[in-house]
This record gives sequence, C-alpha cells and structure tokens, in this order.
Amino acid sequence: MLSKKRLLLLSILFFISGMSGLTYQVAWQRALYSAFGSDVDSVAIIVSAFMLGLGLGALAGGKVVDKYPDKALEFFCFSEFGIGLFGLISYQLILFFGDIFIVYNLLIVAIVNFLLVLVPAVLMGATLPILITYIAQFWKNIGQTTGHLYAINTCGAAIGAALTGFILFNYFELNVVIIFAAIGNFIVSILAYLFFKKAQIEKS
Amino acid sequence: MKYFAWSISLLVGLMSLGQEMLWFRVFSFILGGQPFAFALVLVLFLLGIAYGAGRGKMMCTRYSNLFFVGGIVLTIAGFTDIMIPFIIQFTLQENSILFSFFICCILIFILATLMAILFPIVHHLGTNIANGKIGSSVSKVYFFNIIGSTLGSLLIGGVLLDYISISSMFIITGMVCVTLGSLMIIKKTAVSVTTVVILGSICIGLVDKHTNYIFANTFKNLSVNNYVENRYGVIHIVNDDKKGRKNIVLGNNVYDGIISINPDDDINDLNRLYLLAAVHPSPKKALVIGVSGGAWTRALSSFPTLQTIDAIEINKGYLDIIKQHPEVSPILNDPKINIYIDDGRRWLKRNCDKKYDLIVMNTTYHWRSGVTNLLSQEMMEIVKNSLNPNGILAFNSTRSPDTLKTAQSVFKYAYWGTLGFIYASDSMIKLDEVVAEANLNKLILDGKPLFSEESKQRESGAYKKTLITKLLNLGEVEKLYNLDRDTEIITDSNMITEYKYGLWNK
Repeated sequence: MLSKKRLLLLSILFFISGMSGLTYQVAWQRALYSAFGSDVDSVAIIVSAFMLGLGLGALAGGKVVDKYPDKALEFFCFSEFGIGLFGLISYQLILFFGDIFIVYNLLIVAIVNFLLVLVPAVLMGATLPILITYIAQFWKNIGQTTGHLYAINTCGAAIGAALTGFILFNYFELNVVIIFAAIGNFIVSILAYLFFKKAQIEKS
Repeated sequence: MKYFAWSISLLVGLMSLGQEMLWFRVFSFILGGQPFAFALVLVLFLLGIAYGAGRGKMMCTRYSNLFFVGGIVLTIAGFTDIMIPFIIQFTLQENSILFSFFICCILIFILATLMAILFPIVHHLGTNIANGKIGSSVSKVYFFNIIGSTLGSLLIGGVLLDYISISSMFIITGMVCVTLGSLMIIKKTAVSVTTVVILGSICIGLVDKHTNYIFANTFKNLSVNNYVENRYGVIHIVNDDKKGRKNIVLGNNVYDGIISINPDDDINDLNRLYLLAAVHPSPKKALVIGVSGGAWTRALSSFPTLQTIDAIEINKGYLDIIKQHPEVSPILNDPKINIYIDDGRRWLKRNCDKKYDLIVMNTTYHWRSGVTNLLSQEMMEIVKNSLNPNGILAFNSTRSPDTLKTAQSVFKYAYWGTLGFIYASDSMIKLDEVVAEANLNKLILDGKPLFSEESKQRESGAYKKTLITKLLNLGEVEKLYNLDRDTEIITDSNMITEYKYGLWNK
C-alpha cells in the first residue's frame, strides 16, 4: 500500500520536476531565439521539437516500464538525473550549435533544434507513464492516477513558468536560471532514489 | 474503444495547443508585446490544466459513463470557444483594456480546465489495466495527445493563421470541439456518426475566415485606415484625428512609426536618418533592419551615393501595407532596394560576407519581448563585423541609456542623438555644419532635391532639425538622465532592457 506520506513525497518530487521542466522550456526558448532567430517559423519549430520529444519519451517510458515494472522508480531517478546533466551544458550547447547551423536552411535548422531538445524532452516525457505505472500498482484506477500526477506536475510547471518569467529573469542571467532548473532535477533524482532505497529495505 | 480514445486524445491536444497559440497572440496584442505575456499565458493555461486534471480524476471515480461526461465537457468547451471573440469585443467596447485583460485571464483558465478534464478521462478509456501493460497503454494515449499538441502549434500557429484570422480560428476550434463532444455523447452508429461529422464540417465551412471581432474595438480615439492580420502578427494603420496625425503604424498594438516622408513637417523625426547623410562622406551600401511602414527605407533612397540598400523585415504583412501607400510604395520597385523577409540578426549571420557603410535599425521599444536580440552586445558585434571600416550603425535606443553603454563597449565611438537615436562607429562621428549642409543639399528623391528652399527654413522641417542635432557621449547622457544606478551592458543572457530595467522596473 502507498502511504499518504509517501504519496505526498512523490507528489512533491513530481511537482519540482514540473517546475524545472517549464523553467527549461521558457529559458531554452529564449536561448534558441538568440541562436536561430525569433520569427514565427522558429517558434513553431522549437515548440514542435519539444512536444515531439515529449511524445517519443512517453512511448519509450511506457515500453521500458512495462518490461521492468519493478524498476519504475529507478527509471524515474535516471530520467531526472539525465535531464539535470543535459541542463547544465544546454545553454553552451545551444549557442555552439546555433553558431554552426544558422547558415543552413529551415529544414536543417528544424532537425538541429529537434536533436538539441530530443534528449531532455524524451526523458521528461518518459517520467509521466513511469510514475503512473508505479502508482497504479496501488490505486488501480488509471484515470484517478493520471489525473493526480498530471495535476501535480502541471501545477509545478505553472509555478516554474511564473517564477521564470516574472521573477528569475529580473535577477538572474539566462544561463543561471537554467542551472537552477538543473539543480531541481538533481534534488528530485536524489530524493527519489533515497525513497526507493527505503522502500526496498522495508520490502525485504 | 481505444482507437476512439486515441483520436479524442490527439484532437484535444491539437485544440489545446492551438488555443494556447491564439491566446498568446491576443495577450501579446493587449499587453503590447511585453515579455511576460508568454509566461502569463503559460501560467494561466497550466493552472487551468492542473485544476482540470484534478476534476477529471474525480469524475473518473464518480461516473461510469465517461464517454457521455467527456462529451458534455468538450461541448461546453466548444461553445465557450465560439463565444470568446464576441466576449472580448464586447468587453473592449464597453470597458477599459485592463478589464478585458482580466476577462481574458479568466477565459484562458476556464478553457484550459475544460480541456484538461478530458485528459484523465481519455486515459481511463484508452488504457487497458487488465493485461499488465499499463505503461505502454498509458503512454500511447499520452503520445497521441502530444502529437496533437505538436500539430496544434505547427498547423494553427505556423500555417492556418496566415489564412484565418484569430477571431475566426477561435470560432472554428470551438466548432471542432462541439462536433467531437457530440460524437462522444451520441450512440455510435454509422448513421449518427456520419450525420454529426457532416453537420460539423458544414458549420465549419460556413464560418467567415476573416472576422475581426477581437481587434475591432481596440482603439477608441483612433480611426483605423488599414488592417493586416497574419501569422506574424497584427498591423493597424490608424489616424489620430485629435492630433491631426495620419497613417500611424501600430505593430501588435504598439507604435511602429508613421508613413510619412514629408521633409517640411518632420513628424516622424526622419532627421535622425538624414544625420547619417550629414556625417558620412559617401555611403555606397546600406542595410535597414526593420522596414515597417517603409518611410525610413524610402527616405534612405534619397542618399545620392547609395548604390544598394538591403532591407530586412520579419513580417511580410508590412509589404501589403507599403503597397497601398504611394508615399512609400516606390521602395518595392526601386532597383537598388532589395527587401528580404527574415529575422534581421539571422540574416546578418547568414550574410556575414556582405559589408555596409550604414546599418540602420529603427528598433521598437527596448522593453518589448525579444528586442534584446537586436540591442545586445552580441548583436552589436555581429553588426560591427558587417560594417566597412568607416561604417556607422544607427539605431533607436528608445531612450534606454544602457544601449549607449552597450554600443560603447563594442565601438570606439558611440553617441546619443535626437530622441535617443544612437550612432556608433569605429571612426569618429562629427557634425560639421558646413559639410552637413552641403551633404543634405545633395539628397534627391524622385529626381528632385529632397529639401526645397522653403523647407530648409521650417523649424519643424527635417533640414533644420538635422542640423541642430546634439550628439552626446555616455557621461553626458548619464548626467542628463540622473540615473540612480550605473548603466549596464545588455547581453543576450541578461536581457536587462526587457526584465530588470523593463517597462515596469524603471
């Protein structure tokens, strides 16, 4: 049985994960504008690349967690840690690729944008089905599980977007804001790992 | 059942992201392109989604006929969508723009909530818990939702808004939602499904694709001459009858110049451009970043030594505006003027082999979203790379002293001219009255001298205004503005003119 305390902890972690996710999206969008241009086509490319990455991540996350259902929390930790690691180098990476590929046509730019956000977006997309699978072991109602996690994650995302757009950009540079988001991912990853370890010990 | 749930998941994603794109444009317009518009739409949308997902979760445990419940929710969302343009039109007509803004905030939240209620419901309907493959069946529903969201941003934001106005797009998305909702509610027989789809398609086909309910009542004291709406934004050409000003250009609800090149009455201060003729001995190649209504490019074409003018504009809608105004329309057929539709900074990076004697940017307000890309130190380095040794960069600081500090960090000389127009170069810029007069006398437009003898005597004329320009250095500007802080260098990363020292933080 999933105790209320554990559900609360998992919910908080997924909330922070959502916060980091939207902080990245707002910050990366700005960095990508500087690197590749800020016209409507760039906007559409960036949003689409991000969404497509999330979708592929969701598919991959679902497949993997079905194959190894006992390792759901480990996958979640891995995903969050991976997002954080990418976050740390993302700003420099975007500028570097922008300098190289800006001279190419729209198709190449679209592919480069897609590849740039692919790794973190896939990992972000994977976290929802992974956690749903974990909690559904206890709740059995998919609608209830999805609704709960989606609401928590999205609430975090809203706070992340608000913090970034209204406060952080007033006080910190873009690259620093991205590092804050990465720290959020590391915190989530470490706490989820400790949570998982404790659950394992109790089980045995 | 799962295929139907996947389809609903995809279409709900498409409608949701499409609506987010539409709301972002409406908010950008209402807020005049302030940088927090995007974050605000995102926050309201996400809060609505979070609340809606929670409500959906509750419905999944309370109701057994989730198709019916989901259908009702989607139908209500659809009717709300259809009402949006009319609600905004009404509130703008009767109340202040601030009140309309609050109404829009509430509407975003309600709509996002309604759409998000569907999310857990379609997951519930499309997931098979019995076969032990929860992860992959959940992820498929989620995947279709995200594919729909991707299509929503690409289709609606990237393509359809070129052919359908924002108001009409709201009505059409509403009709799609009502049709989908009805499909969820009805008993699924071939006849009933076909009937609903045909009826829905007919209604969507009948919608006028160019309605203008949302922006029709925005300007209470101005009369609208011309209006262009496309996927790049909304442009209005208005008259201010009280002040007797005509052909004022508003790009996304913010002043973007005046279509006038009248040298006798220099209402749009083209003297800031003519100063370049006064101080540069013989410019041959010029670049204009931001054509807007075309007045600056047209005025620049009067420089007799210029052989080529390249002009970059990000919104192709301005070309339609220019076509309709004979004062500026010759720039479209002038053989020495080449107009490109592109992002200015990207164009410069892609054409770094081209060198110019003059680069002119009549930049929009320094606090608007994305303007850092034109005012930052990084951009000035790019511009410097495209200038000939004696070349001059002239741009509009819109009175942000930090822009002068930034220009000074890149160029040897940077000065603050009329209305904060900045002139930067690695060669000294000096306004010698005798040389300036001689150069201004050489300006020719349509085969005639730009300045007649009478025009030269007018106090409000461009000739006199150019000659009395005072060029200030950074120290003088800091003293003039009496800032209680040090001026700072703008970078791509700190975005200070948009945020730290933006419109609300001065």
